[in-house]
Amino acid sequence: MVNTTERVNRAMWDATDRLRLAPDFADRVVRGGRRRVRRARVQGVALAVAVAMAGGGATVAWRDATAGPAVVADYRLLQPTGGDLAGDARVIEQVVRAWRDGLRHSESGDGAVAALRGEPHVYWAGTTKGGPAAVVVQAGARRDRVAMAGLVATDPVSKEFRLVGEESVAHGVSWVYAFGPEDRTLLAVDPGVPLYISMAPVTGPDGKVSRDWRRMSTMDGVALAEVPAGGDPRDVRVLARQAPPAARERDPAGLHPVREASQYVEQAVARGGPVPAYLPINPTRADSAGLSWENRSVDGPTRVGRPTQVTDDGGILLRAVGESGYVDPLIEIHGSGRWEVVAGLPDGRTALLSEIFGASDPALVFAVLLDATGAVDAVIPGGAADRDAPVPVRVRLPDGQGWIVAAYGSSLAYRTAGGAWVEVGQDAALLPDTAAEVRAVTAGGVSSSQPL
Amino acid sequence: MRGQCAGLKPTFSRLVVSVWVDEGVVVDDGGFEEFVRARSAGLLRSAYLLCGGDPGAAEDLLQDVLERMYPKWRRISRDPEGYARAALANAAANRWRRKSRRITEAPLEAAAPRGVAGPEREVTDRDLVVRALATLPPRTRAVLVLRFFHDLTEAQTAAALGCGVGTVKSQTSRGLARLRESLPEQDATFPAVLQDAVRRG
Repeated sequence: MVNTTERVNRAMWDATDRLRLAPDFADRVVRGGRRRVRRARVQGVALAVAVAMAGGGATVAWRDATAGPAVVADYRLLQPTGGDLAGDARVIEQVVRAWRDGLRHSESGDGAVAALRGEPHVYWAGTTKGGPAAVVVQAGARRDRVAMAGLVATDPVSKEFRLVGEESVAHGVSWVYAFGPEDRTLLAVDPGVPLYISMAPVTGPDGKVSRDWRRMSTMDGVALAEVPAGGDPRDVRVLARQAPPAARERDPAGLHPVREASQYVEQAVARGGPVPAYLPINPTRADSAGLSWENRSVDGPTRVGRPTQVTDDGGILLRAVGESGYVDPLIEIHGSGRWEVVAGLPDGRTALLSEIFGASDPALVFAVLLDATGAVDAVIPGGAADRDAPVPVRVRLPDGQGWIVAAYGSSLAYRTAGGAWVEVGQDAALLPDTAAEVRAVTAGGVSSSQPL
Repeated sequence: MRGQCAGLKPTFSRLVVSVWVDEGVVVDDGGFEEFVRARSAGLLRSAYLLCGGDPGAAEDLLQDVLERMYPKWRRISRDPEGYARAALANAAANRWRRKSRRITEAPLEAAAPRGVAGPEREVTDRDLVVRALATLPPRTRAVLVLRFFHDLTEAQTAAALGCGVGTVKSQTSRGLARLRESLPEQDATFPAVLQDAVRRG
């Protein structure tokens, strides 16, 4: 006899039996993936911003903030070359050659390249801290519209020009590139609306994380910036729109992906391009590390303190932390599902506590206080777990509600100043606010204590 | 018995690295394209259920998730299909903010006969399941799809969605209860089936 879950399972499979993907689905995914620029996770480190201006020339007269993207693209195609190297015929020739050579291993696909018409146009050629570079555009069937755009830049090692980024308009063009040694030079093509740049998230004295946005100055149709020493190019965000972004704005409109030359070059090699002297940097970061407490909530959260039946339905902790301001507003965070503590507090509120990933490496511990109605009352940042400590998680709650401590696999006890040890059970506990020291005894009998 | 399903869920080995010739150019992206071509059809099923039976939205969701996997492909340490499955569920549950850019299409089985005993009963079941899923909150839907379509355990579902097992338990119970409530008298057998599942959940 077919049991219930098997029948539900069967119904779900039957319901999806006739689904068919579009024939070009895989091609679209691969092309979309290749053009997608992943901005890696960020750390809450404040960085100085050093925006460097392109040298020479006045702001271009053709900029038209009211123009739509297609009209702006026309200007980019038709405008005389800007930049301090615009008059250097040898540079222009080398740039065009590098463009053509690079497109033989195009990320946009051979079809997109074959659809190009006419001659490539060097929109801008100039000197940058990453070496001479040039923005190149080319038309397609419609001769007055840009079909493909990209950046030719100097290989940091060979000092020769090579294509370090290219995008088909059909797939969307970011117009923002990171190139040069360690991708530290940023070039944004003037989109006709103000450009804003944020080098990294900034953590304030209150622990809240924000973005320091500064308007980029354009000259000759581009804006240039340098990621300072100690900064990480993958933390940089560039945004184009009329209204300046708020420091803690989440999912802001107008965000432009930054195309990293190192990634482009690495993938171009994978597509059969020549191995460059330009060695790519490691473009991605490892997943942020968390506590190795796997499957500690298999039978539900670890409940401590006053009895409560509150559960984290619908990702309350995750959503509250995301909205709290304690993590970079421009990253995605996620939970672990490995362990979770629910504490019934003396004043009737409930605390949810676990680790949040994505905001930093290592992961961060957060507690969320819920009032009697289940509404979020407060978000308490607990910092990174002290992984080598006998009790890795120790979060003090506000309003004298005590401490939540956790050391899965250990028996816990606490004592107040001068008091005797009080046993409080396994894995996790809610301690009184007066607790001064906590002790963990492992399954192997190893006893360690530490002050709170 | 899940004989008909088992063959549709092969494990994709992360160790397979593809090198093939595409229009004369040797391409090696660590097996990503091979993975997409091999597993997208299966993942589309999951996306379809997560989107409450909107095939256009399902394809959009799947494309978005797979594109996001590409830049991090080399560092996806666990099996990519499991990663994609979890990413789909999370995208549907937490980040599904936009409407499909496609015109919403009717579920494929919308016109299927209902309440008929015999072989057609499974047609009824699948129709009712999809319609009922569409009425559920996205997160509850994600829990049900992971639990009853992908056969994940409660712990695995919790890990995939980044929540506690208690949450999975409660969402499962509530989701099945909601399904039952949404199917009054339409099929005499299905509410009983769900009721049993609720008791089990």
